[in-house]
Amino acid sequence: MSLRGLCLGAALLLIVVAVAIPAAEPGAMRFGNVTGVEHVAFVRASVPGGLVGPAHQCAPGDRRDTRACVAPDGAIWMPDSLDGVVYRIKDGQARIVAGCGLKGFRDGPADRAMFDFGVGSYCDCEANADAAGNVYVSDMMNNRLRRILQKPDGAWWVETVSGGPGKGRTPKKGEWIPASELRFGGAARFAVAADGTIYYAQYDGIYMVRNGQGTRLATAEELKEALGPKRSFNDWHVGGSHITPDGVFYWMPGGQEIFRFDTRTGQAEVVAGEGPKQTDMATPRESGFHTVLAVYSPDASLIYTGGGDENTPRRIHQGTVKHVQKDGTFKATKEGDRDNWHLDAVVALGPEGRLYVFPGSYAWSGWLVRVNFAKE
Amino acid sequence: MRKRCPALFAALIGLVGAAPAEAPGDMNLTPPAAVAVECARDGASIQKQPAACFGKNVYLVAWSDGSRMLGKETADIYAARVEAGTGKALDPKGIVVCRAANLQDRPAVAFDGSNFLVAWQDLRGGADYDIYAARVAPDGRVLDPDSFPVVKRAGNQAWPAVAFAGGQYVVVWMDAREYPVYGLYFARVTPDGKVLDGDGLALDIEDPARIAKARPAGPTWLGDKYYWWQHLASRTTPAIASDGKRCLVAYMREYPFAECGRPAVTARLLDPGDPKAGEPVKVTGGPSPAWTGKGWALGGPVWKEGWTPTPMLGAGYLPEGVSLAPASQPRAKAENPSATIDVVAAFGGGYNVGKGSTASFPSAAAFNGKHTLVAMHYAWRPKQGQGPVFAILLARVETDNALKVLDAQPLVAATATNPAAVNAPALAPGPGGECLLVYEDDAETAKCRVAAQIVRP
Repeated sequence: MSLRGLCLGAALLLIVVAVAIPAAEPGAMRFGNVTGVEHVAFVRASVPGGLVGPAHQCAPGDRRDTRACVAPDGAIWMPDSLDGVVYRIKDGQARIVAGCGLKGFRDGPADRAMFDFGVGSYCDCEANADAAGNVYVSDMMNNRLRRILQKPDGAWWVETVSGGPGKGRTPKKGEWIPASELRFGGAARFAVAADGTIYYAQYDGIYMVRNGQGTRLATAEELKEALGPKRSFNDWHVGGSHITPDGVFYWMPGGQEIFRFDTRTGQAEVVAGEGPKQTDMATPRESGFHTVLAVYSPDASLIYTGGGDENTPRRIHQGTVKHVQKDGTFKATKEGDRDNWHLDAVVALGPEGRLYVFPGSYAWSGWLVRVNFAKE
Repeated sequence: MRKRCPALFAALIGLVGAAPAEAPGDMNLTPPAAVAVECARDGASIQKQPAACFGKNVYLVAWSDGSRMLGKETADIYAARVEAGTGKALDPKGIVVCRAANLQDRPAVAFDGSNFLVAWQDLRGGADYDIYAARVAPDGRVLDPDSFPVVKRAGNQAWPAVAFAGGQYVVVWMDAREYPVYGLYFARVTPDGKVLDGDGLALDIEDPARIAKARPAGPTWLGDKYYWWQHLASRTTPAIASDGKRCLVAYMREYPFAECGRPAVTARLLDPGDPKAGEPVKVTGGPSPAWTGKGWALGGPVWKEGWTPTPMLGAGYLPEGVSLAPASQPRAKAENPSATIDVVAAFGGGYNVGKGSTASFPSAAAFNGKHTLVAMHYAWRPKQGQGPVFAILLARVETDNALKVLDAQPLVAATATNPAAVNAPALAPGPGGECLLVYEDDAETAKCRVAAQIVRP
């Protein structure tokens, strides 16, 4: 076969492979109407210490006030703030992977570890995963960020990534200090990059933790200069953070405005939320939010908000903001519209664009449901 | 290991009310001792969720032993005897009751006059929990070394409670057979280990017609169904006491939020000879029942409701017949009296349970022939930023006459500071007015042992 023939054959083979293999996960992201909501895990039945087994029958101590994440293997991880444990839902089964059921602090074997996520009427605890499948949880009452990992021998382990006893200290911009000395504070919101680098916005700026060292990427003064003087930048307690693969950090302090900070250039700007609260306007910047959660697609081209005072999930996509309606469509409205779907707190966005929600976070919560979307 | 809180004595007198007519005197506790100090596997000794019962001069203490690490689960059911009167541990290596695959946990124990029955929740199949049991003789022999299923069907059957009444064991459990809620079921088991009600009898369950009405037609739904389960209620975490002929089952019952309800302690009197008789009643007091000789005490944490609920150590009292208002009405208020101590005030520190939330404070109750003894796990942070302090609290409650907490300040039977902990108290009434208190003494990641103390009035 000639070189030309070989190249032609290879090209044909590539075309055949490209047609046969489904698009990669990010390409599978769906932006159509809601086709239905399904029960994923947990029932409304408080069982101190938690009851595992079939995911549809899993009965934890409490199911409020927490975020979830979807790990690369498709497992859903979710902390339970009441018992200080972390659940893993996979293949229709729920198990407690980390936490012995008592609130406190203890690193080591995962089933003997202790956490204290705190509780509250807002979603105080966050979970995120890196590309290797390590899961990170914000352990707010212990002033630490914790990592749940599986060792080569299969044992699950919990270790502290950032923070430590006491209040810690704040590095100057560009100064690296041991992460164990870092002032993690009540930073319930944080973002994890694929390589495990952690980003969060806290008192006095934006921070990064990598390989046991922490630094400050931007000061509050710099952020005020770029974003405006009368704003709070602390993404704790409410909101939601995210880091894109190309290094743009998003955060939503106070659940009202979404900002972004380019870690490569040091530039910050407002993304959304300068308008009247809970109202969809012509653009994201002109719209207003009063929520407690935000979740992002990997490249942040798709953002969902919801929970707290905003009962209805909202989608920020292609320059618009819309509320989900009871019939599954999306429409620009304001909170309180009787056709809005009070689906409530968005806690995670799966790699295929399916949304995980806690309906009724303030009141009759208990279930984790998954929202499925049609193609556009 | 006894600690008092003298600084708060005066304040607590005010909370408890008038001083009791008869001073109860101090409680006397033997020093804590591990019930199976030589019981260790793979270099670790992890003993969790103890339960205890007295019979023929010994207490039998059962627990879940081993690791719960995902993929490496070894938790099995073990037991050990403790000598009445002395508190001496008779089986330091522990007695293997069941070592099936996967998880065996949450054991419960009862005595029929000749032998003990240990029942537990069992995940041996890996898919869902079933209830298994085995009999243990007072000399420590396991009479059913292969154990036997009390109920084994699809879905979770879990959190067993067991008592002996009317010549039979009564095993109660929470059961997920009616999606999407848990109901309570029970089965009678004869002293020779025969299960009389293999599939279980309903004790308190959600109305199937109500479930059918609420449930969407398919596995998915849209906004017209909202969160449709808000009209349905689970019954969970049963505990049981016996007067010899009948049992009182106390449990948590959800009341639909859609009807302005909140979870509440509920109880049902159960006659093994007439299992259909009796009706659930909504009660006050804690979730741990005890027979007092004249009626039923309900001890444990009592939550003073509000935007930030406050944990109290307390007890309620039900007359012998249990004929209060039925629980079927969501708004029905409990009618039985209760008495409480504010433990936050007693220990000068809250637990930050959060707005609208309560915490898991396991409890137990037992009647010592004179008073109802209530044990409760409690934890608090002395200072913001410090690790919590854990304690097992004890208080005596006068239940048969005027309902009254007799100990103006709770006795701290055991305490530990994070990263150590104490947790999961259980009580068993014994001879001569003594009770056995057992709990988890969690010293470190590789050592969490069941400790025992005899409590004398």
